[in-house]
Amino acid sequence: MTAGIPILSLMVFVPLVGMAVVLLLDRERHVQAIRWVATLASGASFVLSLLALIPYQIGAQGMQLEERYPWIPALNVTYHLGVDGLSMPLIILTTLLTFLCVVYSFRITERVKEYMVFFLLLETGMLGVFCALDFFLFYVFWEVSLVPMYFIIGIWGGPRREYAAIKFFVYTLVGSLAMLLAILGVYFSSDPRSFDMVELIRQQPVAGVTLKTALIFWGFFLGFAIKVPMWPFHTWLPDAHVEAPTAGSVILAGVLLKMGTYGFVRVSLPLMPEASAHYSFLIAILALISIIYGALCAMGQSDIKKLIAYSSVNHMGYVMLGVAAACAIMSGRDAELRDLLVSRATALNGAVLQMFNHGIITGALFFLVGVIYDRAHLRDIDAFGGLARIMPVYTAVMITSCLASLGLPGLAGFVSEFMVFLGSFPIYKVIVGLAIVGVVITAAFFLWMIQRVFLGPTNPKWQALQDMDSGELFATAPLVAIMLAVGLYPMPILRLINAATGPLVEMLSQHAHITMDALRSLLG
Amino acid sequence: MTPKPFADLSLASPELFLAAVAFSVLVADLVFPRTWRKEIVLLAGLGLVAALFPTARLWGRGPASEFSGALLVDNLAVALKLVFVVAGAMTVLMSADYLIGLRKGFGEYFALLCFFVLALCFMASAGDLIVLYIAFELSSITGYLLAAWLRDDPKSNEAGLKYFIYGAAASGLMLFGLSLLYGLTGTLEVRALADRLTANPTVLGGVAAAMVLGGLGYKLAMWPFHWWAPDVYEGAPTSVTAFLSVGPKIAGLALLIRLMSALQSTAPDAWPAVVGFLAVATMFTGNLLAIRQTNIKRMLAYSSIAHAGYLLIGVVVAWFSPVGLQALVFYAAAYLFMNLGAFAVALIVETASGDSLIASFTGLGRRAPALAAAMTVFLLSLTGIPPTGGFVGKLLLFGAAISVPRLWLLAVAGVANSAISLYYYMNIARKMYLVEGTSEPPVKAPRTLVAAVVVAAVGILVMGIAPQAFTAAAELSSRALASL
Repeated sequence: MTAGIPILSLMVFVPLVGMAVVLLLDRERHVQAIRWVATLASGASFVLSLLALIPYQIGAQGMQLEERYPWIPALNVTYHLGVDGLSMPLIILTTLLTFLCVVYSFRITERVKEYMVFFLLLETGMLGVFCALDFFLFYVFWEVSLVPMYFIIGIWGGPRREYAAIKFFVYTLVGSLAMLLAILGVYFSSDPRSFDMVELIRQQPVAGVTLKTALIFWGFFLGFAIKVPMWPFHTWLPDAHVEAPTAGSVILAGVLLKMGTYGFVRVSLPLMPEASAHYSFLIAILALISIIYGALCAMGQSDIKKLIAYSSVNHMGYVMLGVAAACAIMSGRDAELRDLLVSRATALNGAVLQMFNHGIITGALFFLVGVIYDRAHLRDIDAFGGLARIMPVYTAVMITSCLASLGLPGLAGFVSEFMVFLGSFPIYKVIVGLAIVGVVITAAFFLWMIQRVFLGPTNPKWQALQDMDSGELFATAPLVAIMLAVGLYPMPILRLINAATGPLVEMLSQHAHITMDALRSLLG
Repeated sequence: MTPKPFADLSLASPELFLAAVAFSVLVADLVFPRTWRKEIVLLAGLGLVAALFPTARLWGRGPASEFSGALLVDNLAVALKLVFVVAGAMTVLMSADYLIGLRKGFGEYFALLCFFVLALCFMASAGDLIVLYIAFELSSITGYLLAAWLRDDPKSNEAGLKYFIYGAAASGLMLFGLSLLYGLTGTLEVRALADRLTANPTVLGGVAAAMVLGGLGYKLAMWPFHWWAPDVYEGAPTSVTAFLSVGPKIAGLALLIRLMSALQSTAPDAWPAVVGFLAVATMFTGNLLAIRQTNIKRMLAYSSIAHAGYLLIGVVVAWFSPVGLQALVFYAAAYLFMNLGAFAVALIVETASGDSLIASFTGLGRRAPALAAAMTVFLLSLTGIPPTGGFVGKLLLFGAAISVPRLWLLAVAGVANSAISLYYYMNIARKMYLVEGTSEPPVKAPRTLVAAVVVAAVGILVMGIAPQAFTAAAELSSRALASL
């Protein structure tokens, strides 16, 4: 059931075709060709994702650019792809970041063929997750993205790469398997049986708050929370991020973490609205802990990469706070509850925008850490000092990215964080009040890091350090440009997102609010 | 029922064909000159491949029985026979080069292999307790002999002896149980046992069922009858181990399915719980003990034990719903490809390095990239990660467990075990790709082994990406449950 060109399938599988071509090339003699084929494949995917915006109607509700073919009739599995305002920004984020990573990775000289093969396979996996509208397909792509990441961390990573890689793999797999059971639970509750997400959301087979629904909710929760990562399931992240090679960290932080939050908004919220409302307070608490704990841990780091890794835990906490607020149970009069609808929408829009922004900003930060590590071969904050005099361009880009990350107005991070707080405050006053402390701590550790690394007396050891080269600039400049663009004029992307989150929030608030009268009658 | 003048031999055509192949290989070994080794391999291999045709022709003929109910032919039997014949053919491919240096007994090896396949096919179709036991014993005896085939290797001798002693005890136990069942019911027909046992429930019936389960458990390498497996798998020639890990295991499951309603009628509420417990114990035993292994054959032995546990989930669910049987048949086919594939790669590495240690896999990603990639696919399939047949199989198995609400704990156990198994399967991938090798020997893979790897890899990927034919066939096989 497709009209015209299947642009989503093309976009998802072009990297896989590129991977097949790379496999045919010789590992020793065709290294340059391998790099250019990979660039071409990821670049083509990026262009296709932008071209997909042409037939895409920004304000329209529901899934667009859908492709649906029967796949495994015996299991009611279909090949169903589609995008909406939630997945579109994430898809463009993925294609952009992967393209930049591939270009940045021209400097890798060891086992280039395998590197590019894994990266292209990873890209197909990630894009498939965001486009898939059938649970079986979703799960296949979800797992497909795990395998190449294991190898990328394990082969081209730092000194503790083997430990970090297997920890990442096993930890994430446990979550995925819990999610598999939840998916099967939903499948067998549906009537007629189907794996199709759109169909299941319409059917609502696990509505209400029964024991079965609760188990299914927590199954999905485990799978997504490990990916996000939410405290206390975040312990794989510092190791994986620090040990991964630069481009690996960019993809890990920039895209893979978003798969978890995307899962919450795409699956948990629409499919189990009552259960989500029931447990939203708990999720908000966990989000708050992630925010504060992540920020505090970042403050205590002496390794720049680990600092940024913990800041990711903090930032994803803001996303989850917005998500929790969007589905929270609220009591009040009808009029008040209607006002809260705007708050919920703001919170969820902020959360989705924060997903996109965090990918851009933290992606840039990891590229920049790679710059200094490539030259100095260490990332110790205390070992540097006064780098601003030696590498002015690098300093400028790094400070801009750090300011974007801590939420300086005018840059992207501020818009999404502000929206999350603005939207969540009427719903969770105390929690948001405490979460703002996280912003203060984040500002503190970033500024402190900047002061110790870039300002102050110049450490003579680093006099000879080269400033950013063209490859590094090529990788980070577009990201900084987007930080500025979204920070100054976020309207277009917000319109894109709102088309998807608007109807979702309306549905959630219907399931989640109770009027004062109903509450009174319940209590007798 | 009026007896027919002539039996419908077409229902037994796969067995007759296989018997012909086996005997002709035996005769060829006597008649051919000593140097005609390749010809014997061709005869056995092509014979087994040709046996696929009479077997496939029986698809859809059933459910039917012949020889007064001694031979049952239904889609389940046909599907499993296809699995056994393919396993046999792939083992022939794997053995060809591996055993080319055997001084004595080269031809007999292949004849015994064909008889082994024949026995397994009889096990899948057994409708009568005597046929069941004869087939069981034939498969056991050929197994003992093949395990000890490397006469100069003390480990092989040890493997054969251990297999024989343990197997003899287990089959004796099973025979005792079967005879008790006959005594209680007065019939040898498997299908009639259930009704007669339900009519007269006794404690002795439960005891008999337990004994039979013990014998079947040995075949399956189910806890607590798995103790023979690691030593036998490690000591036997690797090609034999490969076949042992697939053939007898699935045949044991076939027998368990055939006897399922009979066993259950002795204690209807207890047996699902007991087998469920045994399944979980088997899974954990296999997966936890595999973690510390340094020998690839031993590791795959424990992995096979764990997989028997996963397959037993299917058996438990089959008690309540045909979905369990569908999952089981699909997983059996996927297991065939992924396990034989893994063993084929292990064989190639063993031939290159001279030992069967996991350490010999070091740096395989550089030395033989295509082979390492294939092994990674098999390892991912064994763990249950898409897009492989192992994933679809596990999806079906766990889905089957979830579809019967009271069995959801089995699914949780299965999932937990899959996570545990990732560690030791990835350990091999780690050695292949992540660890820098220093002085590993180059890998020269003989064409027959490469062919086996390719067949297995293609099979497992097709089952993962385009499983429609397999799932449909599995679904049709599961309807046999109605007539069991």
